[in-house]
Amino acid sequence: MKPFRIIMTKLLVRTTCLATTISCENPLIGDDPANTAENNFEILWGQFDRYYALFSLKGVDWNQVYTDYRPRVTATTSHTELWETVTEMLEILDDSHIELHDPVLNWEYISGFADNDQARREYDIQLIQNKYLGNAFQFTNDGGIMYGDLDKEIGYIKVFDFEREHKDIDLVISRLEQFPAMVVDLRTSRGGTTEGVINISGRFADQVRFVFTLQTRNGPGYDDFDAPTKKYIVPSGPMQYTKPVVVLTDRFTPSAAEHLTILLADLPHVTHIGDSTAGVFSDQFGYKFLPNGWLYTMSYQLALYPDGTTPEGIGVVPDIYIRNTELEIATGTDKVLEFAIEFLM
Amino acid sequence: MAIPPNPAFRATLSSLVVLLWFGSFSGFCQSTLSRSSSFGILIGNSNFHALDLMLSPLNYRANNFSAELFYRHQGSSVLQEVSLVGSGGDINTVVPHFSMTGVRAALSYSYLRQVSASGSKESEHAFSVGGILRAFMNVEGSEEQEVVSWLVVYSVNLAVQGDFVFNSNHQLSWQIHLPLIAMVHRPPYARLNESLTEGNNRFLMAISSYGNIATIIDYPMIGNVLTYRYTMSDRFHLLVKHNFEYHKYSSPDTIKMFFVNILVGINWNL
Repeated sequence: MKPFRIIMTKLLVRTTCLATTISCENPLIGDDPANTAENNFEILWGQFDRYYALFSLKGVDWNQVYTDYRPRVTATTSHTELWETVTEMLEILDDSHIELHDPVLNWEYISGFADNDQARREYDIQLIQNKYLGNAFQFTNDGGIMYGDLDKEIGYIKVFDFEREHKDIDLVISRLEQFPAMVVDLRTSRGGTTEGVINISGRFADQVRFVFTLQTRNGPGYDDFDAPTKKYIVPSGPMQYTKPVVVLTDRFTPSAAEHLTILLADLPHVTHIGDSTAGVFSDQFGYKFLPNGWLYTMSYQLALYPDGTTPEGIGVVPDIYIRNTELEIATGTDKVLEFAIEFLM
Repeated sequence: MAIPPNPAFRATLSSLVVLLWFGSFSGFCQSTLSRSSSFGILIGNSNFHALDLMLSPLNYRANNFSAELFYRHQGSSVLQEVSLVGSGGDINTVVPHFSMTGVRAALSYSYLRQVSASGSKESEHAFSVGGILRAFMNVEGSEEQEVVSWLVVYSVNLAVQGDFVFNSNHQLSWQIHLPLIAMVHRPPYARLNESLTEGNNRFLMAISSYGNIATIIDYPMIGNVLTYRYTMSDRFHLLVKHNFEYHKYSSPDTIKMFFVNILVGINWNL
């Protein structure tokens, strides 16, 4: 039995070595990619090439972008220079669902953010609370909605974000149902998930309506998308508010907030007033990171109206365009809200 | 099968072929392994390494807690075993602030028939061949990063096993298994389709979709299990188990992973 035992011993030793040593990692799953400026650029460009959904829509030749920007990144490119190069490259896509973060240095970049940032300066929640609501406003339990009345004649709802499900919307509707008209203020509302959108929109819907579609990129081709998923506005909850409603938006009404806008704007009793929304309808890709620790995300879906046109990059265009100036806000006038009040009176 | 370019790995497989050939000429003898039904529990460490490009270009590594439960019935020529093994915990890359949670589990039913056996006073050995019905799951994700990825596989595996009894107290089993056919589930190309994720049970709905039939060509996987069994009494055995698994799948983006579970436990004869 000696040869048998020798064979057994050799096999056991080899198998154990193979299966326990850290040196197995390289042949079995490969090395970590090197943390160099060139490699980080290549990975970032490649991930957008593989997953970003809106190259065709935005008319961007991503390969030409590579040709233009890749030579600027070399082995000697610094951390800061790489940041400047890739953010300049991503700015071409003008899509505020594209983000890049350096969590160590606390750097943050959002593509096409200039319009959004300007809209923030043309809005003041404290002005609305003090002047137009007369400091008589309430918040829902989760703090996601502020509501009150405008001169005891028009109901007012301010939705701050869609990170919450807004389950208290029925309480808000029941309190404001007495008013003959309502303002739903989505200016500077932040995005979030669809649950809040479904809950709020359902309380204004008069009937089921097909509003738009979403398609998800599902292949390496820039125009590879799955079948459209139809998005409806569906009545829900114990009561629906179907009296005249004005929805206010600005360029800082992104993502889930503009999903609510597009649904509400489809209703016959709703008038959309303000500026176009941010134009980022896709969900954001989960945050991925680069070897240097930067986090990034992007749009990977395409929204289309039933007629084949898209609000991506454009936003939901209002029925009546009007926007504040910084000076008006600074001098205590929310021209947009005053116009809405006048419109509903 | 895409064999990794590792000489030791190739040598191991070559040696296995030789050993099986050698074993096939050992003659059919009556079983040298005692009939029994037993139940076992083991705990230990899982050394985990993975590259999942759905999550990151960097490799994840971890040492996680691992545990296994099994029921085993050794007949005169047939071995049947049901086992559940799981491990999980934080998994990390070289970038320190991006740890995720990783969970791995496998539920399997093995049916192995003895094809040869031989023995002497010094030692006994037997070889068995059979199949394993197996459900394997590896899920990794981070709520903070809002990402999740998985490899879920339902497979029929071909298994070969050698049992070596060195004396009345020491026994060693060595099993290698490979998938004959598998249903492999990975995340969709670009994260989750919203239509599949709205409502309850979103994750179950998601991972039960996007399955593809695969053979070992598309899904190179190998499992290698070494079990040392020390007889403490008629009813109790001490077990030390070394379980190595390698998995690779390339759609919609590559996942390559391997882990080594080293477990210690007991089994008792019923």
